[in-house]
Amino acid sequence: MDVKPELRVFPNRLISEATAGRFFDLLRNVPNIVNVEYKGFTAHNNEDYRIGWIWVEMETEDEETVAAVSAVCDTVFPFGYDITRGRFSKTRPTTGDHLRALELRRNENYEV
Amino acid sequence: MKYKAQFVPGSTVISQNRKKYMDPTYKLKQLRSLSDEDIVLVLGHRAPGEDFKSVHPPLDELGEPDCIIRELVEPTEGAKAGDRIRYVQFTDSVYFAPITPYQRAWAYYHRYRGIDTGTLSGRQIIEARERDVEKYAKELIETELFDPARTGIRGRTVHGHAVRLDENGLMFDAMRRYMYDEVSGEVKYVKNMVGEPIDRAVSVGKPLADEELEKMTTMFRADGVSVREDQEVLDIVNAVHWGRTFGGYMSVNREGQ
Repeated sequence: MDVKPELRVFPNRLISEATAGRFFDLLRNVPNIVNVEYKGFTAHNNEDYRIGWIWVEMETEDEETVAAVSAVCDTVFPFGYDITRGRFSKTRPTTGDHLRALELRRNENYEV
Repeated sequence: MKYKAQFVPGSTVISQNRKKYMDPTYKLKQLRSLSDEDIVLVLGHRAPGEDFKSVHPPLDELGEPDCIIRELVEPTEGAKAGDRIRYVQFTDSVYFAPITPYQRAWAYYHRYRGIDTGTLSGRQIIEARERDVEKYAKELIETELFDPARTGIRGRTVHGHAVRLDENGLMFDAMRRYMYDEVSGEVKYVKNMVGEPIDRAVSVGKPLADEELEKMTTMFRADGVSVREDQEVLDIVNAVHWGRTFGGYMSVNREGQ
């Protein structure tokens, strides 16, 4: 199976959606990037989403791409960040995912 | 022989700050000023201008029994008037908040009377008679023990002391009790301590700069002043650890020393 390498970007502060948008816009100019995912959380009122983790999937792992992503981080995250190389998101559904799907199908009110 | 209290060991700036905050003769530096009405709004125990509710008649009218302890201990203003017990609770961020929950307890016991305080990992509650709570809360918010960005006044949903700060340097608050005003650069409370909207926003001033907070904090941190830089603190912690490990509750009987 073809598993592509990823970079995990961990900003030292929780960022707003506007800042994240600026980061994603700048990443569009970087070649060799296949996909970008992010995760965050909201307050009780379900507004004001804050982003804490970003995963950047690359076609191949090379120093130029990592340097380009770091350069984008430098401009958007003046408070600092960490970049880790590896594979962090799922490449295929796990047993748990299958069970969750099964549970949803069993629920009458939910149409899959 | 007259002894001078040392309060806590150590010679680094962190230890000095701990001593300062615990020393009742040291007057805390006032950094901001809030009106009495502001405090009442943020605490949310009563409406502004409302009388204090009482649970018993004033002590003067009550006719207390003859008791040597009652003669020795002067009641606080709230106790004299028979106020209800109310509370104020603070959350302190791990990112260089001016004081930490545990040291709050130490400082409170040296500074305030008629209180009950409880320590948890990220927050510190202080219970007392209502008008005493308001007096103490005013002092705690106006002085150097409080930073608008790194300290939160939170009655419930206190989570956030170890969460990353936001882009403005504010500690995470799931109830969004306070907002950063980009125009004035101040932090404003739009909800009271338990998350109920209040009539008007209460400004608690501008957040302090990181460099200032690092000088004021009572927190040993690897990226600030490390505890390893303070030999006296390490020695005391070591002695307590060995005494507790070998001696249990009878640390005088510890083996090997």
